[in-house]
Amino acid sequence: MRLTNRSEYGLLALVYLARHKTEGFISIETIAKAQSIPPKFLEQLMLALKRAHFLYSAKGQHGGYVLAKEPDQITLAEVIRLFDGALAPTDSVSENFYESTPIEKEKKLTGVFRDIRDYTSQKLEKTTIADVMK
Amino acid sequence: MRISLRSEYALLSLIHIARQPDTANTSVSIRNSHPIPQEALDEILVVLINARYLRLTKGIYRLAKPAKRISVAEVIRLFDGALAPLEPVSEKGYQPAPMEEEEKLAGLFGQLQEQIMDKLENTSLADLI
Repeated sequence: MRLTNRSEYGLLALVYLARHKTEGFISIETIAKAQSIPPKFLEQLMLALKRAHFLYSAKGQHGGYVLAKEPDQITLAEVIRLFDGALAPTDSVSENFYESTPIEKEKKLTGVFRDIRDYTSQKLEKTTIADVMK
Repeated sequence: MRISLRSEYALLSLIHIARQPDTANTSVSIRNSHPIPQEALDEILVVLINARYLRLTKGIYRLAKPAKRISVAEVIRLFDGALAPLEPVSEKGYQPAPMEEEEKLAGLFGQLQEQIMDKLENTSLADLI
């Protein structure tokens, strides 16, 4: 029941870019160094974030990445869903990534996990990068 | 923030046994009610015996303690480790994690963890049968 490193690093990179959004394109090396993220790993994450339209990129000497949206338009929920999939503890209680799982027929047990899913997603859907960058 | 398949199987097995305390629950009868792969079930039952949640006598499984004294939290912790969404905010099983220095992020996930823990610590097998 924890975030993957992909989600953690992804969030850290977005927070860094949000803090430095007036400085134009920022290189992977700069972000990696500032947030202690392995650069090769960060490269993959930035590509995923770019494909999901959170970032713009530019090539060349002054290239790098910049946020494609305002920090208050990026929720933690969507970043975590991008990297980790469902926010629910198990797919059978997920609204966005529903799949049958073994416990599905145990209604009381799935009720417990559905409660957890509900407050996790409520919290993460209403918290944006802007809320955690200061 | 996910529980593993092993945790799901373990909870299903424990609920099955707790629900019918006077029945001769064997690994076959558990599998007749729940489609759990045999190898996985055998391994999970051994873990539950070693952790003193189950007792095995002549092929029959019984709870080793009352259902109300087994929380969902401890079963998940047994199979999946710490329950925290992030390592640094976990009360048990501390390990440094990338987000540690971002206080607001770590704080947010700390709060989430408290809610999740609270729910799972306060739900026992007896509540689920």
